[in-house]
Amino acid sequence: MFDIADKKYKEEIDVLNKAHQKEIEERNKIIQEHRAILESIEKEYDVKVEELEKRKKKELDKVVRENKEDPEKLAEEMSRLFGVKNV
Amino acid sequence: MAIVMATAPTIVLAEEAEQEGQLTTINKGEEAPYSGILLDSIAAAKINIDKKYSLLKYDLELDLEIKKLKAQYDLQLGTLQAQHDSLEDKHISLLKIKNDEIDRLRDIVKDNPNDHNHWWLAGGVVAGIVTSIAIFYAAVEIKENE
Repeated sequence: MFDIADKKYKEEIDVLNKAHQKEIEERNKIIQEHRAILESIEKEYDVKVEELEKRKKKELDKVVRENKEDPEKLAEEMSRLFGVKNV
Repeated sequence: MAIVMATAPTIVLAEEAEQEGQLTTINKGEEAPYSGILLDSIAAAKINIDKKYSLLKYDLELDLEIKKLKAQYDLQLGTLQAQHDSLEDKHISLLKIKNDEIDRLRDIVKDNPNDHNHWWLAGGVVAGIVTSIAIFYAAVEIKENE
């Protein structure tokens, strides 16, 4: 009778340990996934910033080239962007 | 007093208009219409493009922060889900063990019922017989003593 009760208690402890172990494994998996996602987000951001810098440089060259002789268009653009009056 | 009141709003409006700022294009050798800062086309283009691209970069940073926050919340949600699943597993398994134990004890009780009615009956009959004999004996003893 007592042997059976003892066996049952051991079974219960075993169940609790297994569930706890499973939870820890699952949590570690989620943390690893989270780290991978963060890394990918940061990487994506870096790529986009790099692309933006390239586009910016390209556009700057183009704007300088186009407006070197006639800065009126540039003045209009500045007026619009900065909210100042072009007189 | 009336003159001051009438002219004050006009002065304020003029100041506001001046504070908006102004820009103009001038060619080399032309007289500047007002004092200020003279930029060449390259510097002006740089300022222009910087302003435009700082807005785009801000959008990228905002997007990054939103994605980071979402990832953070997903992590929290995942952790809680794992905790919930674990608790559910524990609950189901323990409940099964307890139910098995209840069934086992019920079977034991079924096999060894705590029913002693036949002993009570036999005991009652014997006690009745003994009491009857005792009463009879007592009655005989009393009669003989008279």
